[in-house]
Amino acid sequence: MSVLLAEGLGVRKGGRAIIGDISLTAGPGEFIAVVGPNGAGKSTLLAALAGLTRPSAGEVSLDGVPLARIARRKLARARAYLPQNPMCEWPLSVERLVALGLTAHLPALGPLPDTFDAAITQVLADHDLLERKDQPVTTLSGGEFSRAMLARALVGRPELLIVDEPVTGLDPVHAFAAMVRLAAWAASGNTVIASLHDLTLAARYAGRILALKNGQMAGEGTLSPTMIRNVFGVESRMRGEGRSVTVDFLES
Amino acid sequence: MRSLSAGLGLLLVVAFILSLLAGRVWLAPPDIVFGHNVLASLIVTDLRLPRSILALLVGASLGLSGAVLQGLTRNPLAEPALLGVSTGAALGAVLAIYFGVTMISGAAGPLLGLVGALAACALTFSLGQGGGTITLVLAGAAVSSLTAAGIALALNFAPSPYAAYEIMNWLLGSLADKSWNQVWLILPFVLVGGAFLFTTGPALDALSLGETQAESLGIDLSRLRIAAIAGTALAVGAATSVTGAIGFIGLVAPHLARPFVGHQPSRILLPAALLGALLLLVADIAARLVHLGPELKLGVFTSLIGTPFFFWLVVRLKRTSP
Amino acid sequence: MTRGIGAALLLLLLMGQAIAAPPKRIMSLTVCTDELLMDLAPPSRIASISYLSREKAALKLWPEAARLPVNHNSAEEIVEQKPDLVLTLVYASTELRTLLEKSGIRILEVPQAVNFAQIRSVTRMVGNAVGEQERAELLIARMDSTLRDLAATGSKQVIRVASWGGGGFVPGSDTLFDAVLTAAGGRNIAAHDSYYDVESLIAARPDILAFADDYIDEPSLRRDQNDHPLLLRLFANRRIVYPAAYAGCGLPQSADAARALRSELLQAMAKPGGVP
Repeated sequence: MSVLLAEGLGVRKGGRAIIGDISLTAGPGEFIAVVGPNGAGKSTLLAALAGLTRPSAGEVSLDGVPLARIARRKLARARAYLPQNPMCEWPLSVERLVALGLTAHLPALGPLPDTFDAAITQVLADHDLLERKDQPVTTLSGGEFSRAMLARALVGRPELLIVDEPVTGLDPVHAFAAMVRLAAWAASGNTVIASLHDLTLAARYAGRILALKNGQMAGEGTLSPTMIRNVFGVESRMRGEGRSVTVDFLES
Repeated sequence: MRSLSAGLGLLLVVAFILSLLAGRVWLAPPDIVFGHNVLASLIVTDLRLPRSILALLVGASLGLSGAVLQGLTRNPLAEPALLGVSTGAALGAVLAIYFGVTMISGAAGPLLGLVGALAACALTFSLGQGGGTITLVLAGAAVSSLTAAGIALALNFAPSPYAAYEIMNWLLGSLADKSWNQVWLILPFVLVGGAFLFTTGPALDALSLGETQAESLGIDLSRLRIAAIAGTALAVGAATSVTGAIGFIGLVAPHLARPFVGHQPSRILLPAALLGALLLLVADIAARLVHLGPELKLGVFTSLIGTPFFFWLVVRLKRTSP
Repeated sequence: MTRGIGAALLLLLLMGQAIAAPPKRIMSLTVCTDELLMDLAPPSRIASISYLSREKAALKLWPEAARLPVNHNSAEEIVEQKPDLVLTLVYASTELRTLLEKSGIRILEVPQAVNFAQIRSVTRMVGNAVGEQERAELLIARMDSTLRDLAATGSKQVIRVASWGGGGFVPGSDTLFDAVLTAAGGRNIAAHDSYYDVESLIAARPDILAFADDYIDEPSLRRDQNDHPLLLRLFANRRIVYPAAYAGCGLPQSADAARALRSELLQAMAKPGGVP
């Protein structure tokens, strides 16, 4: 079981501190939503937690081992990352795209062994892509493409999944479906960290909220109007609970 | 992909046999099989066989390198000639030939060709990478002009008065009158370079998702770039030092292979190499059969194939890009 | 052809003046006319010769070129040196001709001689122009005597020769090389100027490959072709080098060149080689 630990994490780019003094612990079964205004540093935080950006201060470790010291392929097998607006340069078939998620599992020489075929088929089925598996990804709709990308992230069964804005640009149906999948993955004993703009979705599906403002942690735990006021500077009202909670912003 | 490669392999064998028979002096198949005709045997073993093998090696290097460069840059216009690699190699080779270095050691040709290719490639990439299609192609054009100027300058100082005429012809590419010497000379470079290039397959596949995702999948991007550039410099650098700068093969071969293998970069590598070899072999046979005084340069034929294709590609890109 | 006639007519017209007094300051603008001039006239009457006569290969055969003043075929030098006769090849530029006409300087445009008959007429033409008719006839007589010797002592052996090292270009039957080769007893593999690649060359089955001596050692691309391993093997003992000068200018010495070439050919044929 893997525990992700960030201590005093800071990242500077171009002489400016993007994020600073972030500490958090994330364990198996947790679904953490990172929220905050534009420019708060969410993407930078996620990239640093994924080990793709070197921190200028502090350290991120997985099961006590600093990410920088884990071998690339080993880390790739344990952790999957999806950036904002992921793209695919060539018109690969859906199946081939999903199979790319197993790159870190490739043997030294030769193609993917047939034993992985079942895993690919399974994940295609889980994401309702089985009948499209030979279709070029460039011909997919936005929602289908997002599903394909998520499938490629999950096919390697990563213990840690980090997704930057998984539902941006998706219609409500697909957005909800994506959140359900992420929550399910966390519930299976893995860690999921995602950045979200939609506070309702965050409140409904994430177990824990992490709020960022100006690169610093401005709140943690359960979403509340107080937290929202601190982070976004607006009044809000929350109604309902569990999977039917809604967050409305109030105009001042 | 397997059936495509098998099919290409078969075509290659046919073309190879044709290459042994064709030329200003046509030979009949019994001549090469039974060896009664001494003249024919001499022509085949000392002239046509090395020439055909060279066509295979050079064509495969160009096709493979083009496939890798296109995968690396995710750019369908990438190829060794367009990126200035071929002319860089040509400059290195010109310096080696005309300033007597090859008289000291024959290996000077491919070595200096390799150095020239490496320098040109590094320059183009540092100028143009990360800026999109136009930037990369412009960077390649800039480097090509630079090396062309270098070649003109070198020719000014060359002791041989025939230098300018010869180089102009040679720059268009030629396999005429080559011997086994050239084959043994470039074979190690082509094999090592080719090996480097073939290892880039899985990394190129992951790169389809962009650099960040590829890194997250465990790909070492700098190792990939080094393998691609070193492989190109070794294989194309050495090949160019012997045959001159041959364009378009590296561009066309991967494109022709791509639709058959589902666009996955790693699956294009072998077919592109085979297609490159096939295209060059066919172009060379054609060059031998057209009798217009001195032998027509290979570059003429590759341009005949390549230029219309290039235009079509540009038009299609214009239509599909935002 | 018309140029030749034209030049001859001009010569006849001017001969009237020439007979009176031979020219005292003769300027030659091209290598071939230089060499003929040096053979016919004394140095005291030579104003200058072309700078190209100081090239290595030419100097070897005409060492006196080192002691004569040189010109660079320019109008300024003509004005400066004030010659009374200018010798050049038939392809002189129109500007030059106009300039000379205007200045009243006599110009003799000499055609290229590519066979022995033409060598005779050109030698006579220049000899008359510089006032050395007797010397001209002497040189011609010597040449003819050498040619008669060669014809008389020729063998029946057919020696096929290819002039190689010219990037695949092989001179054919309207060239000086061919005339000298034939006089020497060899037979050119090429009927007319042609391009040969190594394949075609060995298919033509030459017995001997002949290389001109200029630039033969310079590093260049054509070494691939000149020194192809197959040719090195087949013609290891059958390679001869001839002075490039003797393929360039048709002069009475071309007969001596033919004699030297014959002995080289026979020497080479005594050893094994060629296309089996």
